Amino acid sequence: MRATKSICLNMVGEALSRLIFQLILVFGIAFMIAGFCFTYLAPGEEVKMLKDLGLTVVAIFGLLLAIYLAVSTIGPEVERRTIYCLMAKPVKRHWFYLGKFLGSMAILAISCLIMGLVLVFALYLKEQAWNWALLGAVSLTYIALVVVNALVMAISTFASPMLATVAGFTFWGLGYTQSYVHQLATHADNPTSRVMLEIMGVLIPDLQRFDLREAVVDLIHVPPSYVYLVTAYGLAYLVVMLAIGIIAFNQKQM
Amino acid sequence: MAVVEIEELTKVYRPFLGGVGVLALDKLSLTIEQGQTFGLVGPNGSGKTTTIKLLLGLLYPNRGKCRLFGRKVFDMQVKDRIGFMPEAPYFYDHLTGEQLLNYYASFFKMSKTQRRERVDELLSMVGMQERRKMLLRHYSRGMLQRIGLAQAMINDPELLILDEPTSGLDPIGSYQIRNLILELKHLHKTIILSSHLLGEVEHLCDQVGLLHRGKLLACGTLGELLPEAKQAHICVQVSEAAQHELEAMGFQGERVDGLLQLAAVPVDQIGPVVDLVRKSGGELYEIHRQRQSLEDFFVQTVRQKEVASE
Amino acid sequence: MIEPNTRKLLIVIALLAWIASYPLLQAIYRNPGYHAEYTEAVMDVRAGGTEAIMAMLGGFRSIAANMLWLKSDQYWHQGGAGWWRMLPVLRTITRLDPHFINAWDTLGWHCAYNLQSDAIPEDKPKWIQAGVDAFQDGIRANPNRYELYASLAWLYHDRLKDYHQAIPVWQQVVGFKDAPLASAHMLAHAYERTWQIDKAVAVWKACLAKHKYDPVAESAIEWWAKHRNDKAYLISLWQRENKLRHGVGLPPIPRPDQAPAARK
Repeated sequence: MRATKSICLNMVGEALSRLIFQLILVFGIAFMIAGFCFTYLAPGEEVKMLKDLGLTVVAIFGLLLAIYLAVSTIGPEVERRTIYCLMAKPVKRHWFYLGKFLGSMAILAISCLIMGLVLVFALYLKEQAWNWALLGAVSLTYIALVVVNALVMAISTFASPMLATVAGFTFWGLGYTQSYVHQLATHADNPTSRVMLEIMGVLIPDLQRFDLREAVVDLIHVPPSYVYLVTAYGLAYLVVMLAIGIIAFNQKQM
Repeated sequence: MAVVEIEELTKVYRPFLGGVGVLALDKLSLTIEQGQTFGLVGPNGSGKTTTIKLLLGLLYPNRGKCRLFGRKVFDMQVKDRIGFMPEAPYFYDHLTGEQLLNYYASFFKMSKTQRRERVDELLSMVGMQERRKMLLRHYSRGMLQRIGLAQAMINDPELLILDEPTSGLDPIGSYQIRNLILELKHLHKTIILSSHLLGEVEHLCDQVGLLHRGKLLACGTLGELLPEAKQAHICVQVSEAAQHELEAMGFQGERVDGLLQLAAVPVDQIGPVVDLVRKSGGELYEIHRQRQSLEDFFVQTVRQKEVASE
Repeated sequence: MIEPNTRKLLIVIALLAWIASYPLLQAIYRNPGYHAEYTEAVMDVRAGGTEAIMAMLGGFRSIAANMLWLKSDQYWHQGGAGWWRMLPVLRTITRLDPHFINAWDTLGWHCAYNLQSDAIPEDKPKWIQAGVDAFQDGIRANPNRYELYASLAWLYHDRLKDYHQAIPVWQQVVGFKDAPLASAHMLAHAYERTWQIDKAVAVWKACLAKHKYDPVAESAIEWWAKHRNDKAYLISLWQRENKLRHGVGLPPIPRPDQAPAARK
């Protein structure tokens, strides 16, 4: 655990010092601020557009960051051979992996929080009211990003960074279509196709469930039970991705 | 007590999708005792780095076993007692030298005070005290090598594995690293030194293992591997008359900077030559018994092996 | 290297977690927090193909809806053919975002007022009906928002002068806690137009009870206190109403005391 904590803190320090992390964050915030300009084009719907754009920016830039962090954990350590010195120390491989993952989680949390607070402040300037429900939407998006991060990290233990990046984006896109797969399964006439669609629906998590943008924008009440269920759902997939990653990393020959 | 025990260790690198594999190590067996400095030499692709990676648990063998301190290499108690310096090390360039050592120290059971003292001691030892607050991205190659050695020493290990420790260094840098290794040797550390620089290995190591295409061609002390010297090189200051007398005895020499250099003097003739120099009132500067160099032995052995395999 | 037992344990944990995700997902779909209408609506998109694909991939649905909203505003300012182009765009927005109230409102109003005025005479009633349908669809998608009820009631009240149709809808609007005071006033006016003066006065009194300062309600109560039984006044109101209906091309209505009170 001592080793995991050290590796996690080192990962956070390294990511914060990297220009690419800073650029992703700055561009994300810049996009959100630019949203002020777009909203003047929308008659009577400035606030809605600002919320939509802001939460989408958090999701998209969060996704970029999640994939970048995942791809830059294991691969570069092996390439630069910095992992050799670590593995010669009393650090088990799975603690190393977990330390890196926790570091990614911490960076993502910091980024989502910063972008979320910028959005809340931007809306305060528009509405003269603090809308903390936005941070609730951001926190569920964060869970989805962590699941993607865990998947890409697992893939990057045995695939190239490019392949892992493509897999990350594909997973995100497919995750968003899972609700439609469920709809098709519900209305399927053929029992075989229904079963196959249900299986497809379990292979990849339904990432739309973590998306509370419409609820926040359209002022729809979200019961706490829904949030707990979605969180548990995200944690289930996180456990699966982490287990796969740890097993793959332990088998990895460096 | 044997610190390193390798028995029939075999490693084959196979492509991910199957196909013909590359035999990197072929039934390697060797033992390294406590306090020995063992040189692992061989041409590129001979299996030196593979052997080291297997000892560190970075690779898994296909067959055979290796043990450190009588335990499996993945045992955390083993990792507490070893240190490793990789070839041409890269470190986390957002850290300073001091932060890097503190980071690696955090993996061991050390109090904050012990950690601080150890870091100070190591920075002094490698001569990096003044650069402790400098970011690693600004370090030169030599500085990185030195900090690499320091991190390998952070836990005061009993076994040190050094992979090309002087690679890419200028003469002064190499000299400094070699002196550090000699210091460690005097502290009775067990050292495994993998290097291309045979002169360095000859200078530092007690035992040498020669790898070629995954096979251990030779292993033993330098005295065992390199033949006893049968000739000597003698350097004297004598008069012209004495030189003529030596030529009459059959020893042709060459005058260089006022000194007479006599090459290839048979070992049993050293006495008569020295007597003549004394009688003539000359001065004896140097007697050097010429032994076959490790490099010559290396090249000769590898060539023999290649011819045999053809 | 990972211990074999640890690896087996990890595999078991991963499988259990994956299996557990199925009932969790089913529980999420059954939870009131899950809104299937977004997914169902996008599945049904006919127009705006690119936006539909955008919406499906990566969760850009709301961004696609906003972009279409800007497009519809552009078409509005174009006028002419632009008004007709607005129609599929607004329909797509409501499918992409069924809770976009303003889009439903604009769609209904645009059909019933703008497109109706631009249509050939034979088609005008169809466009008014299209506006009614749009509001009713919007109400089905958003039963807990008063705005679309208010727009539908206004359509019946102002555009069609069908106060019997307007009354039940105004009643629904007034039932919302956040409905503006004006909607209660409109209900009272609708009762007055249909000569249900007692009900009208009751509504005015309810307004005054709820909002201490309501000069409109006060003066209405005062007025009807004096003219409650003034038949001649009521007839003059009816005649004025028929004049207004004639002006907008609607047929006259029979005198309220002579016509059936309930209309379909």
